[in-house]
Amino acid sequence: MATLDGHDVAELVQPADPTDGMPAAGDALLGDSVEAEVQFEQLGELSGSGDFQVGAVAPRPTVIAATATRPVYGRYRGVRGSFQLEVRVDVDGARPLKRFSADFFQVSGGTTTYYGSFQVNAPTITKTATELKLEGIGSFTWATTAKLVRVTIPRVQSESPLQPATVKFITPPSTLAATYLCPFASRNYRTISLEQDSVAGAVPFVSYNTGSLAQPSSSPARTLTLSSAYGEAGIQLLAGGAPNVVPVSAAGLQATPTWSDSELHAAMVNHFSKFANASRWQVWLLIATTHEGGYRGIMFDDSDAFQRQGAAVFYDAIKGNDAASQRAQLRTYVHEIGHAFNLLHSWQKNLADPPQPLGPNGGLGDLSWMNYAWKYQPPPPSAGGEAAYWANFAFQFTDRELAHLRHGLYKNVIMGANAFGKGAAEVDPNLFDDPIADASGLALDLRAEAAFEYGEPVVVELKLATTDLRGSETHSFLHPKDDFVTIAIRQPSGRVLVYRPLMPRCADEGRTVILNAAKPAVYDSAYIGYGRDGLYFETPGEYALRAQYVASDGSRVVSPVLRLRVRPPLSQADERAGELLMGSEQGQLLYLLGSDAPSLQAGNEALEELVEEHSEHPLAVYAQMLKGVNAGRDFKQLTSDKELAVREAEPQESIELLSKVTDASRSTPTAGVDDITLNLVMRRTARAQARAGDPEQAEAVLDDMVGLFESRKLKPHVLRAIREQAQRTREAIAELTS
Amino acid sequence: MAAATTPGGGASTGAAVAVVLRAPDRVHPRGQPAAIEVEVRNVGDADIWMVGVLDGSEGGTRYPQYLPAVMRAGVTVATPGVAEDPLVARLRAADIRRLAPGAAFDPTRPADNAAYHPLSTFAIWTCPHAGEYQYVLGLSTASQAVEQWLGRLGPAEDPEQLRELIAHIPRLMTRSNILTIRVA
Repeated sequence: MATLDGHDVAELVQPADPTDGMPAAGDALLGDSVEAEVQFEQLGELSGSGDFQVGAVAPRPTVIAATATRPVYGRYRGVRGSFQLEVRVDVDGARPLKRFSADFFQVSGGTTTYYGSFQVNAPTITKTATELKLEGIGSFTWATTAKLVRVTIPRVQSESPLQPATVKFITPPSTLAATYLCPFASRNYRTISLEQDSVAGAVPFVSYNTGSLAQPSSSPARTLTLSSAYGEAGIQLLAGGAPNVVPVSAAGLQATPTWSDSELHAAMVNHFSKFANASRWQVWLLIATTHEGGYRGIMFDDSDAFQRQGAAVFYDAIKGNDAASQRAQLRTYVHEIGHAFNLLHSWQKNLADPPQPLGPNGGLGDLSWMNYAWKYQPPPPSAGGEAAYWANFAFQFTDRELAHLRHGLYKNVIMGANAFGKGAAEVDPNLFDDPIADASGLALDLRAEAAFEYGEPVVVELKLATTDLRGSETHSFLHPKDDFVTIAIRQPSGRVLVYRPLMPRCADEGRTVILNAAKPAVYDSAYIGYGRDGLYFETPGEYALRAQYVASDGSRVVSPVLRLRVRPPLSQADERAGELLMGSEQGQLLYLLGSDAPSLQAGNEALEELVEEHSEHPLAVYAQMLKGVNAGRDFKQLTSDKELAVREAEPQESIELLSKVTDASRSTPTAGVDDITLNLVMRRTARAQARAGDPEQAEAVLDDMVGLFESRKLKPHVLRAIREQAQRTREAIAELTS
Repeated sequence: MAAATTPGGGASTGAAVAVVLRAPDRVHPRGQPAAIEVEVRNVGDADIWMVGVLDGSEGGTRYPQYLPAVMRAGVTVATPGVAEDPLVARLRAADIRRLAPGAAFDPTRPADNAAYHPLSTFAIWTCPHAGEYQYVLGLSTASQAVEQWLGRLGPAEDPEQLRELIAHIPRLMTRSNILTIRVA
């Protein structure tokens, strides 16, 4: 986790630890000794009470045939305060891994957001006639002292409903920190929505009977579909929407049945009804015709910010109605969806971040859906190759893969979170997780130029819009200064910082806004190049930014990731101009829109040099703006003698400087300063004109401003807001001149 | 032996590569893989850069392509399977090695931090019948498209450095000697 002044970013931006808190009523400080470990036997629940098929379970010699208690494996879910806990208990049922894991979510207003996860990989398992107890030190994704986790589940008779699990978080040795009561939720450790579409002419695979061809004796004959293959792993694939036949033309193709990766991605965006640039338990599978590389399948979503949401299989490469072809089709389908779960090929596990151990013979000896049949090569003297693979393959994942699917850290498994093959997050702090449920009725957007010159002030535009046709009521504090919007910045080095404004404001007045059809959005812009941590964009390279807005009802609305580049200087002149804007004092002057403060004298001298000696350089407009805005206002200073001295406004100088900014910015929206800043500059120019005794020219400047933005074809409600700003400036000028 | 062309298409100044297959000079038992040794040798008069068998090389998914085949009586009996998908490991600078004139390396054996893979076709194929089998290995570095070399999985290295190194690899297509294995 990136740190900021020695603190986890998550720590800075997250609420209280969900494992912390006062003991609930009835909780006692723990002092009871742990009973002797009892290894749990494979019970292999075959009673049908589970909601996934059990298969490929080799009976163990220590089965407790006489016990009629129900297995307890599965998912339990409970709530405590604003936190929701989902715990996965994996001690019995099919292929038990003797461990448990969990995810925390935070409910705030209409949003539910992922908080963190923990795993207990080797718990002590204690069983009495009435209770099963699991206990162990957890590995948490955040720092907590309550690392000891105890799960107790009452044992019930086979015909009785499963009882809730009680999950206790304990600061060792015995201080109880929090207790969650978690009713049973599902036999499946995870549930994923699978939406499957096909291209016209490509026939989707349905099922394969594993008894059709030779298979190992440990693998019972059964009919497997894509869903039931994952069901055997404890992962539920639910059909998400009716399968559609994709018209080829919609992907921008003409007559060719051949698909490239980018065309597949475009098809996903067009046809995956649940597609989102977000983390979701959902995946899209396209049954296409042919890949341009001749492959059988592909998980093609491995290059953008929200990976692993889509996969494809290619009918022309895998078709066939004979048993061997059907068997190979099943393998391809399961294999490609496995990539969407962030499973790598058997021989590639060491390439994961962090690296994972390889199976036998460099992974080539894995009997797994994720190996290639023809590459199967167990250690000598066992035979390898395709025939050997199928003769020994029990249609299952390896234990390590199973552990990933069932208990892998949330972001490493869920689609759209961590990049394929990577444990590192695309944007690190938990703050920037997408809500898993969002009923806020609001959408936040963060915009900026795609690229900034070296030293150019980074200004972002924030837009808050309603997504609810009935309208949304919230507040309009969009500037990060007001503490309701937080912006994370991932620098080219990978370090993640939260932008901290130099002088936060207390937004203690009401500023309610109703967003509806008449006023669908509100906007603000913010200079975020300098804050309490200094300069944020001083290194050329790519930056990733994401903002979060806390609405009036507590909803946390997260923007999409904004990427921008800071270009390296191309010439000595670029480098010098950039440096003149890059100092700490210049950063403060940009933040303050200029200042006479003696402590910022060196910064002002740098701006002066930029104006005087580099007046033709594109970056000079920023120095002109700062000096022009500052010159247009009186500036009060408290002297060392405790006297208040006022430097009176110098309107002519202000007009001269700000007019240059306007002239440099009016040609195109990308020239000079951004639109919102230009709006400010022109209103300041009008005020300066009025102060210089020329109200008619002030009026002309405001008319020019409205006309300029009208020519840029902005949205009607934006133009309406600009006209209102012009009118308010006129009123202020009238008051000033009267 | 193959003379190489330069990335720009012109003739190289003496760069040449030989791919050599060897096996113990004996009769091999039926039903067991033959122990095939592979050697890539610089037989030119200048240094060259070369890459061994990478993830995806054997299936032809990426460059360099190493394409093994086993034949019997003129009929191909073993070739690599179809690549399931193109999710192959990234090329790393350590995978590209410099060969002085006369120097050789085993492209299937990881060494000096190079992530070379075995040739599954040779390692797995077991001759089912008595008789003579012919083993041959094709090598192609012909692609000028850097993307066909780079791969897409695993830690990324400086792309500019990799492009520069790839540019040094002579572009060629060659085939090994035909190695005959007697099986009884």
